[in-house]
Amino acid sequence: MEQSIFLKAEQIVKEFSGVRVLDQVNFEIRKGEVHSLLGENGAGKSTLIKIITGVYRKDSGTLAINGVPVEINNRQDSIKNGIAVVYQEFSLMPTLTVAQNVLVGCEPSRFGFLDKKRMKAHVQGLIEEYGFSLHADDLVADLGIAECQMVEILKALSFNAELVIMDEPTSALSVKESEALFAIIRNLRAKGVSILYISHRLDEVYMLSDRITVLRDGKNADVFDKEQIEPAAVVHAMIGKAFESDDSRELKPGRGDKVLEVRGLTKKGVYEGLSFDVHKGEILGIAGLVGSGRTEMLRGIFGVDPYDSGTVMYNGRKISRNIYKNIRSGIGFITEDRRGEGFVPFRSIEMNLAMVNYDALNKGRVFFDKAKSRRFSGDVVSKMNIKPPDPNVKVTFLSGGNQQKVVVGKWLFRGSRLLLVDEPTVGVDIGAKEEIYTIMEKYARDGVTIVLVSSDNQELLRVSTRILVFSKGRIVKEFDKGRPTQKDLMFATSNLDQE
Amino acid sequence: MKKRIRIKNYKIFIPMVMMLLMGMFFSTRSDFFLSGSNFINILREASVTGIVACGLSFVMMAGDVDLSTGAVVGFLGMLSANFMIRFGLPVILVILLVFIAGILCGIFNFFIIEKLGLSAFICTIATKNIFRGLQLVIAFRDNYNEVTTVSLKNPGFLMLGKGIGSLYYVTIAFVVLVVVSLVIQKKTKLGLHLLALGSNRGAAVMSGINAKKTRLTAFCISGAMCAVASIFLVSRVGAATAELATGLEFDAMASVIIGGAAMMGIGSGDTSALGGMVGALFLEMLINGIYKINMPAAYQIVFKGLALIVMILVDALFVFLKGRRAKAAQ
Repeated sequence: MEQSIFLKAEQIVKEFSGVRVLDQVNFEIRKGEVHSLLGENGAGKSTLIKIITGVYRKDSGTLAINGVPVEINNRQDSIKNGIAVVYQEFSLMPTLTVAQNVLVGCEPSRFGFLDKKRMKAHVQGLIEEYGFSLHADDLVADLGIAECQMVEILKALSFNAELVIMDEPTSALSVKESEALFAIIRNLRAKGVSILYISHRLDEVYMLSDRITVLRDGKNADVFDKEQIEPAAVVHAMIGKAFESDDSRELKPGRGDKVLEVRGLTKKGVYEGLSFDVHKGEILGIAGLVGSGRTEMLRGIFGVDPYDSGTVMYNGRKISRNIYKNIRSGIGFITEDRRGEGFVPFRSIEMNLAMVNYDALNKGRVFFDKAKSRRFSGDVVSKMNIKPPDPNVKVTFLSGGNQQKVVVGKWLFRGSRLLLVDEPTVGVDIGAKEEIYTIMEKYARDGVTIVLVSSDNQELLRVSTRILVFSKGRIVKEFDKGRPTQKDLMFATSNLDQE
Repeated sequence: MKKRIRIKNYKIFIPMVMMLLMGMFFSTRSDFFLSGSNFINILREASVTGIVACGLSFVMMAGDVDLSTGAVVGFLGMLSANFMIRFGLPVILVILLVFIAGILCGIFNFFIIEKLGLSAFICTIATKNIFRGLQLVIAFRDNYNEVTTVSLKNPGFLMLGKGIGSLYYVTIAFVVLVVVSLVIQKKTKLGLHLLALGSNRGAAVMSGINAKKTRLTAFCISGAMCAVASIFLVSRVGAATAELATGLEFDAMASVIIGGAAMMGIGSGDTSALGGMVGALFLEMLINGIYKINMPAAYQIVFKGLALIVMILVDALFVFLKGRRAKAAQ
């Protein structure tokens, strides 16, 4: 049975500052199919989506909807062609009802007066047709995340979308809520609506998809039909042969003094029963998908967010829940949100570096020791190779990589003995990445203990001496010997290890 | 599912209940409080503030604020006096011109906010000063160039400050405007768009709402209401003074907030003309009552502030409790 094609993209090219983010990419979605788009971070998935939804303009290539060539240059064009998106961040109006949220902007009205009856009937009709557990009059502020997602899907359906793009839809949902979502997706498919599903949860992707397109480095890697879907082959397509052999380190089980002992750490709904040790001089990598609870655990240990139960021992003593005390006792925390929590943008490098080091720099003095601070920052700038090497430059003017070096330098040079590091090289160029890795390895050799949370598996393999894998708030696997590959990590993080 | 009967705008009951309690308290402490004529007084005094609060509720629904309303009323009042005394224009024409001037003031306010790109808060503080300054510029001066008060003699105009029997015109206007505003806010596209903007401006814009046009409309309505209020105010006072409507902006804002907005809920469904009306009545009853029980007038200001704090706290309490209930239900 020949299924007609809804969307066909051919030879799509998109460049940013000379870098080809999409290189002659072909892509098609049939009517009424669930089609998944897979690829590592940076493979070009979100760029392709943005072109389809009109946020970006393609540099070259063609788009066709139902066989008719179209130009999609803005969101209106995309919507007109029946394409809707449900993102991870919702754009809903909390103090309005479901019906109002769905229909605002295209309300049925007469001479400016709202036809409330028609609005409610229209939305309630959709709700019943697709079996959502909502009411048209519910206030969005009262709804949970799963229900908010349903409202977003309703928005898509209300203007008769033929393609609904879902970006990481289950990352914030519970198992039960995910099941409900899958039922909705199947329902939509039965009604002839196509779904473009983007997710890193490979188990879900395999279960739901009729077809899978894999992108790698901005190019087409492969397309799989349902019968052809075989996990190993898909992962292979995603990471490609080139990354099989690695300069990953040889992993070793933990040995020596226990710097950190975590037992039964639990925070309801976020992570559960976490128990592990970290030994002196280790670089313990923490792998896992976004939303698996790693960042939250780190923040819990440092004292930023409270947890419900469990114990954390630091150097044999119960860790304090007070951040200041923890800093004083040698713990440092490198946040994943460097722009939000890592530095003060309109202050100089020197000020930023001094920020967590006032106690060391000003021992026994009332006033700020400017000379010492100057020497200190000069030291850091040269050792971390920060460009431009001027401590007076305001941090906001530095490149992402250099900003991150300031953040890292802040803690390293304080003589922290335990570093909790969260996504240290996001948005950092290759050169700066290597420099940061080298610095981390040097400090580990000097006895500094590092716990490294990262979504970049390559990075984890490059730097870690031991790796723990998180999934949905629990530790599911430990790698402590040999040289695991990216494929191994990917399997473990997506819960595909039952083979 | 039987949870359909939810009282959405519960917050408005709080000032109403508080008014009831306040009324009972004042009536026991004073013989002059509980009388028909006193209530008519309260209504009349609340009307001017209430009309401004009405217009202001449109602006606040959409997530903006307007700190210049008092200044606009003062300026427009002085403008009307100028039209009548310096130019000798007929009353009807004066009213029309002032009305148009009010709308222009609203446009001006929004223009500054758009151009500067700063928050409405900062911009309307600036425009407030501009309007106050203009009010003094066109004020009447005596032989020594000092600002002086000139009484208005035009009978047609002064009549506006009175009423039919005990029903003052300004009160009638107040009630009519509240009803009209409510209809616009609850039943029209404009009302929904304003609410959407106040709820989540980004999402509203993405849904295709023209933020500029809608917000501009809100400021124009506010300006027009200020014009109406200024006419009634000047006609009752019988003169345009330099201090006309000083502090009115705070009373108007307080009215809207007490009537259910509360800073956390601005842009929420509880911000409405009805809230503004209830809030204005509440404030006026408070002021009147304090006067009637012979407390020094200074206490009025203290209690106004306290009432505002209580309302904000109660709102925060509601939000907190609701959040707890939602978490428990998960």
